[in-house]
Parts: sequence; structure tokens; C-alpha cells
Amino acid sequence: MKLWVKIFAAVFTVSMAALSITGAVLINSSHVRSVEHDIERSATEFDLFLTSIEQMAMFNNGSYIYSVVEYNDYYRRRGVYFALIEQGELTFCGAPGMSERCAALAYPPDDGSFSAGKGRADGVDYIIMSSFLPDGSVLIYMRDVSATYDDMRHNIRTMLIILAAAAVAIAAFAWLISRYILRPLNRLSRMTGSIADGIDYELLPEDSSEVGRLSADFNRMSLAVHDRENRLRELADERQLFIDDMSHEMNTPLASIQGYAELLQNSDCDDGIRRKAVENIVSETRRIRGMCNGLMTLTIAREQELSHDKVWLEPLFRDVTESLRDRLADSGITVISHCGVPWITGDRTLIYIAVSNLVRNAVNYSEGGSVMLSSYYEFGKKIIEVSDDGVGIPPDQLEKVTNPFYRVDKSRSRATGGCGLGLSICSKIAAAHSAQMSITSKVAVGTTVKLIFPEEFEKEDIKK
Amino acid sequence: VAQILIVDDEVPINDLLAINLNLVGHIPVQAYDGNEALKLAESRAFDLCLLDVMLPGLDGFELLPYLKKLGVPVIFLTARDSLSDRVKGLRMGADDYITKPFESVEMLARVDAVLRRTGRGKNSELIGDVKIDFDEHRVTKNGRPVKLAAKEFALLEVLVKNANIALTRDQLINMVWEYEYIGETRTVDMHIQRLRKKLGFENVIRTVYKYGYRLER
Repeated sequence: MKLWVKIFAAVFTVSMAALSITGAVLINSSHVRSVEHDIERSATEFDLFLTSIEQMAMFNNGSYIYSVVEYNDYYRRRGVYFALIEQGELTFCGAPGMSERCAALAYPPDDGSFSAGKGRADGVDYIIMSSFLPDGSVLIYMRDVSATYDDMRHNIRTMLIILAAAAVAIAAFAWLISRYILRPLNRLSRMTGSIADGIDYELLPEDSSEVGRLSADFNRMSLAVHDRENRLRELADERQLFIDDMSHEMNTPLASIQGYAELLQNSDCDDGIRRKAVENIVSETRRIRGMCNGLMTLTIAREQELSHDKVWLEPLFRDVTESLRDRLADSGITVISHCGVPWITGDRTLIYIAVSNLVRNAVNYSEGGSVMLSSYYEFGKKIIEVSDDGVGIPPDQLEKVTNPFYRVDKSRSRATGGCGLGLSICSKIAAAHSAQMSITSKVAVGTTVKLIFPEEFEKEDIKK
Repeated sequence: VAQILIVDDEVPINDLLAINLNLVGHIPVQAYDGNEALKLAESRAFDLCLLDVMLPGLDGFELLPYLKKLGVPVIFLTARDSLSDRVKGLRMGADDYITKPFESVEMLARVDAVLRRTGRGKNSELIGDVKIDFDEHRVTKNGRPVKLAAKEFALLEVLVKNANIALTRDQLINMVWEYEYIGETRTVDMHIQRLRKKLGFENVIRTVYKYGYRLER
């Protein structure tokens, strides 16, 4: 059964029952009071009649029957009837249809009180009282109280009509109540549906009621779902952008290679062009190779599980400088390294790649001068810093330089065999180590890149 | 001979376009960024501009209105296989687009089509003593008309437009007979023989061993 039907049935039943019981109790108590009133009145009257009938009997030779018949004739217009039992036999009964009932009253209580009762005949209700007369006969007094009983029946009929009308009103009321109670629940259910169907939704009203609290929780949940969905979408967009960029970056050298190869294949060009074509094919192929290596490193930095070794920085700095020896000799740039932090925790291969990329960038974007490679503590954190006095990065491009394939100066990047992945790789490696990469730069003054590693935990802490 | 402005910041691609256009007899002028291209376009008249979309300085979309104002037809080079770039370019008034990577034959065909559409291409060529009128489909040798069949003329036109570039028999069939034709390439050889004989082109239309034919000039 639906919840609204249950609420409706409960409200309806309880209201109707309360109304009926109240009505019944009221009608009943009013009726009981009327009857009591009638009995009181009858008793007073009966007492008077009893005295006067006894006195009248003295004028009729002690015979009661005449006075009783006379009184009966006189008072029946006012709804009062009499009956008489002499020597155990009913000798007169003034009320039609009441003879049998009266005959049964041959023995009233003899303590002088009246025995009272009720009777009904020919559609008339009576209060009946009886008492001994001095000669042992029994006088029976009957009062027509149909009016009281009719009142009660009328009240009951009215009450039923009222109940019927009330049933309709209560039904409407109960329906509204059930709707009102269930409204927040229905809204909740609609909202859940919208979220399930991926339709936009609005937040539910929150208050201190039970449903309000549920709504608040639900709002929190849907916001969380929404957030996560957005994050996923952003991630997917980022990936798509990456793939678009990558296909562009691959396509451009491939277009060159294809074009020059075709040129060699189908035209009889002179030696100058031929040499140029071959040079271009070789350099563009190298460019694609570099890109493949970069992509591979990017994938490793992103997906491979890190090892957590103690990476000694002094030998690492030495290896990096050593690997760039030829490049440094060509450009006349010196690398000055200073190692103030003995070791950091991380993956040696990845940290080597990051530092080596940063130093190579610094060398490529410098015209002579020197590159500082150093490590030191700052606010308890371990820092690896590479700074140069080279061309610098314009402020508007500073936040784009970590985007994959982004290059500040395309022609310089080509000349040095770069493919725009270096800083992107460094930032991914930093992220994998929960480290931060910060870049500050001023055009024509130089660039400083810092890898800021989180505070180290002691090994015991990690174990705990 | 058309003066063609090439705008592309990728040096190898720029050079490649210049070499190919030069081979078929056009005069290429190279620019490597938007500002340089604008300066060049304002300083002299060009018959066509090959314009890359992504450029340092002014990009292709920004440059296009200036070139249109100067009355230079534009073919867009879209490196990314991006439909939206192409649609945007054409809507802004570019005459055609070429997606990278491209085949040089296709690039030359598009260049030629745009030059002809905008009335800037030459409608006749003189090779030795043979004059070819492309608009009227007429060929004369030493002033005397030479009768060529329709397919023979089409074949001659393709060879001339791609002068100095070897074309495979399959490429020739695609361009002249306009259907994919696999295997049977003797038709091409027969038409080449007839052209050589009728025009005295035995040394002009060269056979490239195991490849196809090349018209040299």
C-alpha cells in the first residue's frame, strides 16, 4: 500500500471515530438527563395523585376504581395514564397496549417508595410507577415520554447526517494532509530521478524536520556527485586536449617527413634541395623520437608505482651535470651546484629525469652565463632549485608552460630538439612525490624553478 | 607564373611548400609569422596566400581579413584535422583549405584550382614550340593546331600542372579518368605514347623507372 494511502486512511479513521464517539456520548448523556428529569417530575406528580385518589376513594365507599377511571379520562390528554390492580387482578388499564406490562407489576416494593420502570407500546414510550394503596391494591401511573425519546432519535439522525457530511470534509482534509506530509518526500524522489537520469536538478529546501535533514544529507550527496562528475569531465577534457595536441604535434613532423620523402621520390631536384630534404627528414624523425620518449616518461610519472628510496642528491647532481657535458661545452655555460640537503625520499629515476629536464631547460634558454643547481632547507621543507640568468618567461605564459606541448619559443625549442613536454613531465613527477613545483621568472633576467618536497616523516612514523 | 605567399611557422613545412611550388614554376615567398606576412602582403602584390591557422603574432584567422582587403585569395593550412577550423576559415572567406599532412600533388591541384577560379592562373603554357591553351582546350605546335582527344588533353594538362614532379600511373588514372583503377595501367601508357608522338615530347615526358611519368621543363 502506498504511503499516502496509509496516512489518508489513518487520519480519516481516527477523525471519524473521534467525531462519532463524541456525538454518541453527548446524545446519550443529554438523553439520560432528560429521562432522569422525567422520572423526577413523574415521582412528584405520582405522589400528589396518590394522595388525592386516596381522599376521593373515601367519597366512593372506599372503591378506587371510579376515581382512577375518572382521573385517567381527565389526565390522558396531558399524557398521563393510570391502571389499577385489585386483589392481584388488573381491573383497569388506561394506556392502550400496556395491560400485560401493568399486570406484571402486582407486587411493587412495600417500603412506601415507588417502583419505576419503562415501557413501550403502540409507538409510545412510558415511564411507569406503581405503589400500594392502603387496601392493598396497586395503583399504576404511566407517563407518556415519547417526546424525550423522539428527541433522542432525532438527535441520532441529525448526528448521522453531520457524520456523513463530515466524512467528505475529513476525507478532503486527510488527503491534503497526506499530500502535505509527503511533498518533501516526493520532491526528494523526483530529484533522485533527475540525478539518475543525468538531468540538472535544484537543491532541496532544508529544515530541522526529519525529511529536511534527509534533504540536507541528500543535497550534500548530490553536490559531491556533481563535483566528482565535473572533475571527471575536466579530466576527460584534459585528456582529450592532450590527445588533440599530441596528434597535432605528431602530424606536423610527419607531414614534413612525408612531403620531403615524396619530393625525393618523384622529382629530379638538385643537390641542394636533396640535402635539405634529407636533413629535414632526419631532424623531424628525431623530433618524433624525442616526443615518444617524453610521452613514455610522462606515462611512467603518472601511472607507475613509485619506489620510496633514499635518493642521495650530491651524486645525482653530479650525474646530471656529467650527462650534459657536451652541451655545456658547446654553449659555454657553467653549472654551479651546491648540495645543502643530503638526501630526499623518492624514486631516483624520476627525480633524476626531473632535475635533468630542469637543468637542460635552463641551459637551452640561456645565452652563456651560468646555471645554479642547489638543494637547501626552507621552513623545514627540502627544496631542489634550478635557476638561470637566461631569457626568462613572459608573465602571461608562466602558467601555461607546464601544459603538455606548450613552448614559449617554438624555433628555439626546435633548435634544441625540445618537444614541449619537459616542464609537463617535471610537474607530473613533482605531483607523484606530493611535491610542489614553483616557477618564478623575469624576462631577460632569468628563471628559477623550485621543487618543494613535503616535510619528511621519520621512518618509524611511516611504519606507525 | 604566380606569386605565392607562404605563411607557416614550421620551417620544414614552409620550405617544402616553397620547393614544390617552385618546381612547377610558381614564385614562392616565405613568411614565418603573422606580422611578417602582413608586412610582405602590404609591400607587394600576391596571386595567392597559403596561410597556416596557428601562427605566432597574428594568427591565420586574424590575418585573413587583411589579406581579403588586399584582394589576395587564401588557402588555409589546417594542421589539426579540425572540422571547426576548416568551417570557420571557409566562412570567413578563405577560398579553400588543405589539411596537413598533404600530398604535394593534391596541394598543387588546389593551388591551381584557386588560381584559375580567381582568374590569376595562366590560361596558356608554352613548352618548347608547343602552346597549350587551357581555357579553349587548344594546342598548337609551331602555330599549327594539333588535334588531341579529350582524355589526351586532360592527361597533358595534369602533367603540365605538375611539371617536374613524377606522377604514378595510378595517380594519373585518378586525376584524368577520375576513377579508382587497379592493375590495368596500359591505357595510361598508350595515351602517353600518343602525346609524345603528336607533340614531339619524347624528351619532355620522361618515363620514371618503376614509378610513372614526369613532364620536365
